[in-house]
Formats: sequence, C-alpha cells, structure tokens
Amino acid sequence: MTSPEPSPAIEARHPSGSLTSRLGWRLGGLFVVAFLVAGLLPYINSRDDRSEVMAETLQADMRLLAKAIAREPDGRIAVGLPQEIHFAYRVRDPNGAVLAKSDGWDGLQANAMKAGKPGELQVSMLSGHIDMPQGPLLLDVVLVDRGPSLIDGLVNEWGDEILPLLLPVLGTALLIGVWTIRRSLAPLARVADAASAITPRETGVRLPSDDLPAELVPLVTAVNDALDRLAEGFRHQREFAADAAHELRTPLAVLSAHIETLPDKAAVASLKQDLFGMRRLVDQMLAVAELDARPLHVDAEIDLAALAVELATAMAPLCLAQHRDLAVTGAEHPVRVHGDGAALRRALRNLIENAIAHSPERSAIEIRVTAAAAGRGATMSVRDSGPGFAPADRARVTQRFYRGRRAKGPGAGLGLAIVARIMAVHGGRLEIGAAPGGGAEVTLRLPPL
Amino acid sequence: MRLLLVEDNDRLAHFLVKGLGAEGFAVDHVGLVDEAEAALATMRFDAILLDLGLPDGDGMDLLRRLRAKGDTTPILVTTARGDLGDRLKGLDGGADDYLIKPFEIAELAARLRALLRRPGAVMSREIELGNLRFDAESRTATVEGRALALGRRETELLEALIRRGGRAIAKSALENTIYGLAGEVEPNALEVLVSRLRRRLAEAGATAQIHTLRGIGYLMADGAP
Repeated sequence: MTSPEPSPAIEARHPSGSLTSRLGWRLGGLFVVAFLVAGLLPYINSRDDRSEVMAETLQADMRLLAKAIAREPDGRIAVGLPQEIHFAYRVRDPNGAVLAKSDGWDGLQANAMKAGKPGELQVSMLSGHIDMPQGPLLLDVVLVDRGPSLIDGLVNEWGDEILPLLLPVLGTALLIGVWTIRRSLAPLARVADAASAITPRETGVRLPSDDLPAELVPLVTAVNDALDRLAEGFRHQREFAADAAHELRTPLAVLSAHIETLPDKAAVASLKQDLFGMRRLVDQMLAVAELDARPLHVDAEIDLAALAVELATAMAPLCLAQHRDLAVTGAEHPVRVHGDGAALRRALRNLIENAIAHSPERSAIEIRVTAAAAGRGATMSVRDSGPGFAPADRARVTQRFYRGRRAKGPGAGLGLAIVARIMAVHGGRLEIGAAPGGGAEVTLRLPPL
Repeated sequence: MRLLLVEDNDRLAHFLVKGLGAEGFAVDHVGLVDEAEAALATMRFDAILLDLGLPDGDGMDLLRRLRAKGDTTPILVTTARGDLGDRLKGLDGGADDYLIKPFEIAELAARLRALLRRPGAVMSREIELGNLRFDAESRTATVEGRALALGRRETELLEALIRRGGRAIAKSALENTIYGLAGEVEPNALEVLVSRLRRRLAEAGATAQIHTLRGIGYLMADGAP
C-alpha cells in the first residue's frame, strides 16, 4: 500500500565516459593515424628512392671509372674519361698515395665529408677498389647532385600540394564521423525520455524500439519485458487495493447498519463516533493506495470555484451535523486551472474534514478560492478557528502517519500526506499557515497556468 | 413505499431491512440477480437498492437490462468500489444515485426519499422535517397540526428547501425556482424572503431550521436534538 517517497536523487556516479566522446576520440585517432600513414608513406618511399638512385649512379660511375683506368708502363695512371663528367674521382695506391684525381675533387671531397647537411648540395661518395695486374688500386667517386630531380619534384609536391588538401579532408572526415555517431545515438535520447516518464502511476509506457540501432533492440526489448512484468505486479497491487476496499468496506457497512439499529441511542452515538474514525482510516488508506496506483489526469481544465462550491454543498450537511458553519468565498467567478478534479476534490475534502475535527463547535469553516495572479497560481484554502498548527509540526504533518501534538480524536495522520502528494503530482504546493484569527489556514496552491 | 433490496450479504441485508423499516420503508430482500428479476417481474417497486457484486452476476448488467426495457424505477446503487462512483452516474451507468459502503441508514433513507421525489418517480404527497409537515398536493405547511400562513413565494421556498431536506441547495438554483429564469431578481430578494420564512417557522415553533451557507446556498435541517 505504500510506495517509496520521491527518493533522493541518486548521486550520479562518475560516468564511464559518453559513448559519443569515446567513439569520437578513438575513431578520430584512427583517422589521423590512417591519414598520416597514407600521406607520409609515398614521401618516405620517395626519399628512399632518391638515395637508391644516387647509390646506383655512384656504382655506375665507379664502373665507368674502373674501365677508364689504364696504367702507363712507367707506373703512372692514365684516366681516359671525357672532360665533361658529372662526378669527381680520385685514384690511390694501396698505400694511400694519390695517383690521379679529377679537377673538382678537392672542393667536392670537403663537401662530401659533411654530406647530409640540409640546404647544401647533396654530395655522395662511394669508395671501392680494382685489381690491376700491377696490384690493387683504391677508387673514390664523389657525385654532385645539383638540381631538383624528378624525385625531388614528387616529394615537394606531396609537401606543398597534397598535404594541404589532405588536412581539410581529414577535418571533414572527423566532423562527419562525430555527426554520424551523434545521429546514430539520437534514438537513445528518445528511449531515455520515454523511460523517464515511467512511474508507479504510469506503467503503460514502453520504450520505443523503432529507428533504434539493431544492437540496442535486444536491450530495449528486455527492458520492455521487465516493464511488462512490473506492470503486472502493479496491476496485482491495484487489484489488491480494490479487493481490500471491498473486503474492508462491506464488514464496516454491516457494522454500521447493525449499530444504527441498536435500541440504546446513547450507545449508538458513541459507537458511531468510533465507526466514523474507522471508516475514515479505511477511506484514507484506500485513497493512498489509489493515489499510488491510479494515474492522475492533471491536464484537464477545471473550475476551482465550481469545485469548491460543489464540494461545500455536498459537505454542508456533515458540517452542520457537527455544528460547524461552512462558507465559500471568492467563488463568484470561475477560476480555471489544470488539474485532476477528483484528486483536488479529495484534497479539499481532507482539509475540510481536518477543519471539522480541529475546530470548536459553533465556529465557522471558510473555504477561500483565489484566482491566479501574475506569477502566482490559483489557490483554494481552508480556514478554521481551532488551535492551529504548532510551528514545530508544520513541516512534519505532511508525513504519512504523523500526528501533530495538538491532534486529538480519530485520525490516522494520513489526510495531509495525501493532500501533499496530490499537490506534488500537480506541480503545486500545500502550505500550512495560520489564519488571522489564530486558527489554521491550509492552502492548496496550484502552479501558474 | 416499497423497496427491492438486492444484496448478497445476508447480515447487511438483515440490518438494512430493519433500519429502513424503522424509517418507514417496506423492504423486500433478494440475494441474487435471478431472484431480483423474478421479483421485478411479479411486483412493482417504488425504488430498487442494488448491490453490484452478486454471486450469480453483476448488478450493472441487471441495471442495464432494466433500463433497456424502459424501466424507469429509481435505482440507488450501493458499492464498496469508490472508484466506480462517477461511472455509475454516467450515461452508460443508468443509476439514479449511488452510495459507497459503508453508509449510514439515515443517509440511505434521505437519498431514497430524494429519489422518490424526482420527476418520473412517485411524488410523495407529504414531506416531514422534524415537527414540520408539508403537503405537496395542497401546498400547505403545518407544525404539529397548526397551519402556517405563508405567501406564494414563501411556500415555493419552503417546498424547495424541504424537498432537499438535510442537503444544501445553491442560491442560484433557489432563485431560478422561485423567480424563474427570465425574471429580474433584486440582489437581496432571496435573503429577505428567507429571513421572512425563518421568522414564520420560528413563530410557529418548528424545529426545522434554515441555515445560510455563505457562498454556497441554503440548507434546511431538523434542529431538534
């Protein structure tokens, strides 16, 4: 019969990262690496190509030089190469003594020693030896790479033209990736919205599985199945409440009819008083059960003034029988609000019953209706001239089964808890205050339209 | 006035027959839908007091069958299901009134009397409230046998109030009854009329009193202890 009070918001644990950011970062990283590899591989390759070409040229030059060497009978070396060659050379004997060299050798050799420095001429050197009949000779060939070759052109094109193109493509790919992830996850937000609408009163809601990624459908289906089982449980509880109503009310009706037909009128009056308390308790407990189980339709447009007058008309005989006067003020014109008529009627009835129970005989109970004003919702309030609420009780009287220290007579302490609950469902408030004359003034404040 | 009580709880039925008998009703009790139909086929009742959950069927079905046959006998439904209340009086229900168990026999008797006064139902000729008696046919009021001298509008007001004896009636409804819908009503004409009737009742020694319910209307009840 009870349902959890609105539980304190569960402290959100540190989320294990959103799926969007996880997918975004990882896919983004993958994109960047893939683009870098795709972009740099030809560059690196062409770098290699270039040194290979150099090495091959050097070897070819070396072979050319080796063929061109001839040894004069006097032991001198003659090199039969044309004047226009693109490399420099030097020929030495095994002891290192220079036997012959080309014109540009000295300058180039110095350069070759510090080859590799950027911005300078690319100079490569190859050393080898040939065996002549007179003994081995050491050959050194230096190659001067003077201008941009075809390979250099390709390499530069990568750096200058293709990479600047690749970067925007990379950026666009990242954006599309993130957009795609977001779009794909959007149905999850709808599922979350649907799930947040599920309460003990709204058990008919099911999570939508249309447009959902196929991977999530089993999860949503499983949750929906679980909700089906929960709804079944709630249905049982509702049925229990209805059954309990029948089971409790019928014996009470028998008891009530029995008491009324007893001959001893003094005993009848006293027993009826006890029975009234019992009836009220059963009523209130069933109201709690119903409130937990039945969805309230707080969107209906209702007229608070008409509701107050109608209920006052119905309750006037009870008030007069208990020797309290009942009046309604502020109900001359309609006061339109959105709310569940039956629930608001119960809330007001509980307040009037409280007022009857806590005010002295021959006093007046006043129901006051006020229309909504700027920023303030419409209200219904009930004033009595009883002792009022003890200040210490005000915050606690809306708890179930709490009874104020000035409470006497029958009462289970459920009335105001029910009212507070009804107002909370409406997005309104229950205000416990004091009437100007000293009694209690309890106000139902509805949210502004 | 003859009532048919359809109630399967024998103990409740027993006390209701006794209690309503003390209120002046002749009550025939049946416990099943079949028995109810048999009773209705052989006798005419002024009103039916119908419990909904019966061992051999639903009281609602009996209600619908009766209404489908054109039977307009006033029907007061008693139920332990509070949530049924509004539906019972709806278009599909066909009940004239309902009471949620548990109820007081006095309340039940008052509701039954109200039903019997409705148009289409048998008008009770005499209405009593305390020591005040109103004859609806001759439209005369007496207190302990002594006739009250009332003007036309005072008589109309008394009739409207006593027909809803013990229940509140809206001020606007009273104005419509007494002055008609079209007529211009002075703002405090009704108040003046009510205080005049009050004085006449007090002078005659009537125990019934007219209560003013500010913002609501008026209620006439027996003030005797």
